[in-house]
Amino acid sequence: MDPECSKLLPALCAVLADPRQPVADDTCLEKLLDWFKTVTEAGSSVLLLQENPCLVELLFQVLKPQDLSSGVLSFSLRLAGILAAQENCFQYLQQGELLRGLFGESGPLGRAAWTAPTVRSGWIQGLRSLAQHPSALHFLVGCGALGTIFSLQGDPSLFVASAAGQLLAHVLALCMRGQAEEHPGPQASDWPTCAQQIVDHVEESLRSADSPQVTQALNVLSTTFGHCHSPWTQALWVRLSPLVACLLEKDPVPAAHSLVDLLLSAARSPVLSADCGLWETLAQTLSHLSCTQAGPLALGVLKLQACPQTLRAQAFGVLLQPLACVLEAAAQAPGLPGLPAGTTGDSVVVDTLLSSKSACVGLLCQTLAHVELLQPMPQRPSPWPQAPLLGAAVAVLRFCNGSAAPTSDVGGRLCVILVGCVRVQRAALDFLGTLAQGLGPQELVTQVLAVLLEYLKSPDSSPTVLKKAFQAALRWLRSSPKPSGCCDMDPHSQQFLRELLPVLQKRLCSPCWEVRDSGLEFLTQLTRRWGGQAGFRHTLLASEVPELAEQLLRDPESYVRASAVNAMGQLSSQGLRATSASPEYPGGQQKSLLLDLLHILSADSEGFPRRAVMQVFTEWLRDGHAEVAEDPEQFVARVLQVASQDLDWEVRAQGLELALVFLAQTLGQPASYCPCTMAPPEVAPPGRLAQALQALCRVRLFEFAFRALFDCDRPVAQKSCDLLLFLRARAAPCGNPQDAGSSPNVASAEAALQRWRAGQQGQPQEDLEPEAVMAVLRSVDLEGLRGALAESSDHVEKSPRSLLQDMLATVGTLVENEADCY
Amino acid sequence: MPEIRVTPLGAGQDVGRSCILVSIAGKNVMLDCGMHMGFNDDRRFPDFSYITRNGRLTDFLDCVIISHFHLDHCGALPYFSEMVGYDGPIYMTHPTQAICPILLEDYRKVAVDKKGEANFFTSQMIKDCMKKVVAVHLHQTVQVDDELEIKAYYAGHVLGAAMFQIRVGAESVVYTGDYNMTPDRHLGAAWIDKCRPNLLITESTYATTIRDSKRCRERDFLKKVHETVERGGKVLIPVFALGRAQELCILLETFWERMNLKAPIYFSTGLTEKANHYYKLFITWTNQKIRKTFVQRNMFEFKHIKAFDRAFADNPGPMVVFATPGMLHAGQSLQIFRKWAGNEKNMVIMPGYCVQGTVGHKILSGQRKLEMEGRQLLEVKMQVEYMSFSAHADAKGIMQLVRQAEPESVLLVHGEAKKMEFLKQKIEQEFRVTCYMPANGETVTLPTSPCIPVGISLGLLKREMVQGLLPDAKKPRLLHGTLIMKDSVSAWGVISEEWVRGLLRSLTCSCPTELPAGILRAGPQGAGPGRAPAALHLPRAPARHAQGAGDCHACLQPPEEVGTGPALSGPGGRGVSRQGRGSHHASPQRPEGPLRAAPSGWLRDRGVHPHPGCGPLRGPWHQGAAGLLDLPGRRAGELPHRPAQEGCAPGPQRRQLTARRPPCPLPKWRDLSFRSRTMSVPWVSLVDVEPTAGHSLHPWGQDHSGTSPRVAIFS
Repeated sequence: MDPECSKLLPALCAVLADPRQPVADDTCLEKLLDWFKTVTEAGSSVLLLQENPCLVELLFQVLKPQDLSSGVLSFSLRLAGILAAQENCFQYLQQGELLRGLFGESGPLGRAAWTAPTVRSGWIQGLRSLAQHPSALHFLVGCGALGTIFSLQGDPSLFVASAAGQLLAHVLALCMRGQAEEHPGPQASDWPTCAQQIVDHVEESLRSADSPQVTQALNVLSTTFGHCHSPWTQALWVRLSPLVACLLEKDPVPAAHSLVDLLLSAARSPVLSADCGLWETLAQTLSHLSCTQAGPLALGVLKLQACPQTLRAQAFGVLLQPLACVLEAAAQAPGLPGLPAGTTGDSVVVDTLLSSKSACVGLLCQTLAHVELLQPMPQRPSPWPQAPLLGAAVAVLRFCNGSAAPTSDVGGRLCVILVGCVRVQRAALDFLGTLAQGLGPQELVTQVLAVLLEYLKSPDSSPTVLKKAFQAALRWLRSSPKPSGCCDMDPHSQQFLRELLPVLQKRLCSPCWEVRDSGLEFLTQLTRRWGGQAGFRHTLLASEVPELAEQLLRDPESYVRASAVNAMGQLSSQGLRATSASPEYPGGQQKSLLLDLLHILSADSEGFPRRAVMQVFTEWLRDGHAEVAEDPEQFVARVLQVASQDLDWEVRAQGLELALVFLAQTLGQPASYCPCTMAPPEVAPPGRLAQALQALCRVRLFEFAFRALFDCDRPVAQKSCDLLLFLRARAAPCGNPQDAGSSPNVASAEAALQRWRAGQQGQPQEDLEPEAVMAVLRSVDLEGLRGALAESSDHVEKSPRSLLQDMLATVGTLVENEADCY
Repeated sequence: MPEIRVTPLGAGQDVGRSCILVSIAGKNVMLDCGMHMGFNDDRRFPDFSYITRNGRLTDFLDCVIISHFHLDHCGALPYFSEMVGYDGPIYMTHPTQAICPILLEDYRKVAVDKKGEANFFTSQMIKDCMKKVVAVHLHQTVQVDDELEIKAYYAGHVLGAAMFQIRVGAESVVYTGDYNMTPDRHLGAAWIDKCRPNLLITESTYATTIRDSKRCRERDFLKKVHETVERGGKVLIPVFALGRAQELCILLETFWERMNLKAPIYFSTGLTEKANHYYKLFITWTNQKIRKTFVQRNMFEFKHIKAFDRAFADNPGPMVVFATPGMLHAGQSLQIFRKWAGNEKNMVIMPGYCVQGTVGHKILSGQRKLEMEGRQLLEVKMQVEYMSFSAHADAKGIMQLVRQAEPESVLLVHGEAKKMEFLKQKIEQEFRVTCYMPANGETVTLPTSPCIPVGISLGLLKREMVQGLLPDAKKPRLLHGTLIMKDSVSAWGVISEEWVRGLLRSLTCSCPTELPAGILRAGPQGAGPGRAPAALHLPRAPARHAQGAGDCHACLQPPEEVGTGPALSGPGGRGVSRQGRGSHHASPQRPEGPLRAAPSGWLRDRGVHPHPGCGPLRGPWHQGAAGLLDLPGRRAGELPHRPAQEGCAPGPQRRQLTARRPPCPLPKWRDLSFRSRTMSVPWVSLVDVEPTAGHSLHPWGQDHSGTSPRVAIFS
């Protein structure tokens, strides 16, 4: 421990032990515990106590019946646990019966303070830290803590109850640690006393008619099987599985959610997965639970790496049942492929779907999400019923937008229930988007595109639904097969696009900023992917979309302006601006987008559009955009000049990114070079280097970088430091510091550097020259600066010493209402 | 049995990281999603694992509601929605929607830029999160789904702050967020109507404090600033970008104008413009004075307050600077502080709370030698003042709000345990309602009466319309009939006398689909003494189409209230018997049965409430009970405490009912039919018409959503 902290600690312990001194902030105590944890993990706890006897005194003070705050009590219990985690320290503390006093009935357990959940939580957490060695187990049994832990499983506080369950699982595993190799049998006599008590308690709880008690037992077992894969867990399962199976005989099955968790964690355990009984129990559970409860279990079973095929088939059937019902309800004519054999619309599922709107919506959303999760997994069932799933997704979406024309009663009622249901629409569109990873019969793909178009067109679609529809449409367009020998879109996609663009046009004029923004994001993605393809170009230019996108550069909403900048940047890169001088519009006059974007960069009041402009400019420079390629130096100079004045640190950081691209291009280095990598860049030939440095000086890159080196925003300074380190390494042999050291230009540069370092504004008196720049560059301790910048700005404030000082300083200055927050 | 459950994940006996889970009749709502500024790790966010263990977050939660833009109420939102994975709707007011991303960006900047935290939410995540937001207007009833609706009320505190009423069927909860019951220079006072929720969840930051006069505090502040400036010193006021800063700006601007002072006042660059923009945009959210004078002079276009440039900090002479952030933990305010700290002529005024670890916290706790980077020591010679300008309701204000809303029970959050304990006792004593103060992770459960859909025969309604014509919205009307219900209704649990009582306490009627949509409407919750037991409204004309389940609802009242109920007394006319409510299911002492309106809000918007004089029917429950469906009319928020109203027959007479066997041919149906001596025809019967039962009543027993009423009324 830091000697200064050691000096402060006695005073702090005295404050904590004094009930008249309120402790301002529980977060301080939390941070103090974090620190003690770090200290004890790094060294001996006994030594810590011997060097700082005030800590033991504090713990003894807690034993005295006094009106200590619940926060301090909780802190002390947790501290005692952290210290006693080392067995020798445990013995040390036990010499004075300190631990028994703290965690036994004579401690806070028997006092009024126990009513505070924070004290109960501290008690549990203290024991959790303490229970690391055999002595701790004897202690737990000896002081009767197990009984208290059992009762705390039903604590009104979720946090305490959950921690109690986890502690029991932890203690059980600790008890059995020594037994792991011996593979104890299920006989009660084979188990250590402590473990026996816990298992007896779990058995009793499983037999209970009280559902919460059953839940508690199941949670303990789930944690045990989830975290411990020792052979003894198999014996535990053999012993308890009949009781678990008994739960299935009850109607309704109690604690179904926890039961599912238990069965899945048991099934994932490598020790238990060979147990046939477990698979049978899983199969029984799948058939006993309601469709809503069985869904998560079915998904869990299907995610298992190894599992009997029959069980997988059953699980898949259960999972798909709601969609099978939907498919059946929507079927107008036979012919469409159905779901796998055995997956039929069960009448119970139908009843659930029709019982109430919330039940129907809940079940469908859950099913869609589960199948969506399963779809990309390697262990998904094979063959994957892509076509019926597509059909089901389309059917759900049609029910939701009212375009379905079901002939059956069930279909009619589903229509009534689902129409306009945004929640199901969102889930179904996500699902439909995921299904784009696979193919389907063209007829169905056409239906998919049609239904997406319906949603995109519909005035009833909410902004979130529209966003998801755009995303799904993009995924389906991406997945469309390319016609052989052609890099263009397939005819169906082209047709879809032709119909889509007028819709997009309309959406770009939406009064909701969310919709305009989603539309622009969609347009950007679309252009990035197909901007080079003739079919797309023709369709896009025939629409008013590019023009509208350009208009949105002046949108009142800054998010939309930023998205418009991205979209226009992409369109312009691909030569797809509305009046561009493309073959489609020969001779068209166009206002420079570059100027527009520069105007946004210098004048927009919000950071998002300015950041977007910098990203676009960096891409343009990297990709050799036509407007940039005319005069890259002038372009970079103008952009850096504006960016250097920007108040947003991300714009300035992006400016450095652009500078790096320019640097790499000028020096002939690949633009993707990362200055942070260990390997130094190749040294440039002297002649070329001199020219490059001249160019860098002309665009005032050095001024920008040097100023950024002392930027008040750390990432900017870090980035600049990296850039200059790169440059210095690249230009190592160029010039000699002594040669240029005395020139007036160097003095001016250094003076400017000093001013920037002091956080002042201003330019160097003369233009910087390469020699001066290199001389200055060598004089700056960039490595040292980099090290300093690696530390966070609050590293001093969050040090333990600062914490102790703050806590001590707060004593006596606590004022009423200090917790007003804002 | 329906119930309301509340579990704070944050703000339970605690300030910061507000996040309260409320479950009402199966609907789960998260109230606020804040962060704790005292932590730099995962502990800054609420522990959402307690929700995710219930399955998929989006399936479990029906919506998230954000009360205002302060980070301790919305700071965890992008993490929750984009990193934890919540994909459902987020509700907040328009100003909160506009300002929230700015503060989240600011927060991100400090975390990522200053502290170098990785794995933090990105700007794109903030945007994607904001796209899930549904903005609401004040007093607009927003239908989250067919059963869940919310309504915002003005909360003062900061621009756009709102209290929310959340209603599912007959149950409702009001969540205040942070609020201020006293108007200030730019915002008005919080207001809520007498909505009588089952539960009021209120902040209790100042649970034990009666705030001193605001004028005194302001005078003190101005005096200190003025004195410092007069002696040539500089004043630094660290503030958060938006919020109380504007209040202080108005204060100083007015003072400068009045005193004709020349010393410059600066505000962090960029923020003045932003603040101006938002205050102009949401001028309707400011106080009356600002709204009235807005056309002549925009109070937020300051004459004396100019944008600040870093270079100005070195200018000689006096000045006042508002700089961000408010806790002196980074950025411009810290830079200026470092420059000015060494001069005893200067002053820093901390107008808000600072968390441990920040320079603000250190100087407030009296530390005068601060260690900076590289072991440098900064000696603080400048004067340090703390002056709280936070706009929370004090103890009096909280009591005032409770009085105003007339809740059945109160739950305290966002405060310290000891102070809460004091206020809890005060509330319980004064209002005779149960007051809870759960710690984080503790669940409070309040049983409520069941809300049961009831089908109503088309014939009855048609006849009613023919006989009585469409009612005057301001006059009560009655429907009379027989109640019949099935003997065994397993889905509702055991059928018992207690159950029957519970049922009639809160029946929800749904009309057949053939009816003109919106024809059946009911007022908001009846609560309090003399509240009408049952109401079925027949408005003059349908307002808009019903949507989905529960579109046509009304509720019946507990019959035992009539004549047998305890004397009504206490403030607000509350019955003594209401004490201890919440601890028993279907408490027979509950004096009211909330009414459910559908298409929701239609009648409530028009102020139609159950008639207080129309008591329910009385009779031995094993033989039957009766329901009266009355059609009263009244202004919203003005439930009269008179025993009867014009247009309604005297209560006692109509309460005399005689049981009779219903002409129901179906076996196993429990006879619960009644007839009033004073009424002639028609009868009203309540019968189970579950479609699977396959009886003759089936065809009209279904509403839009496919939810089958278990009980029906027919003549």
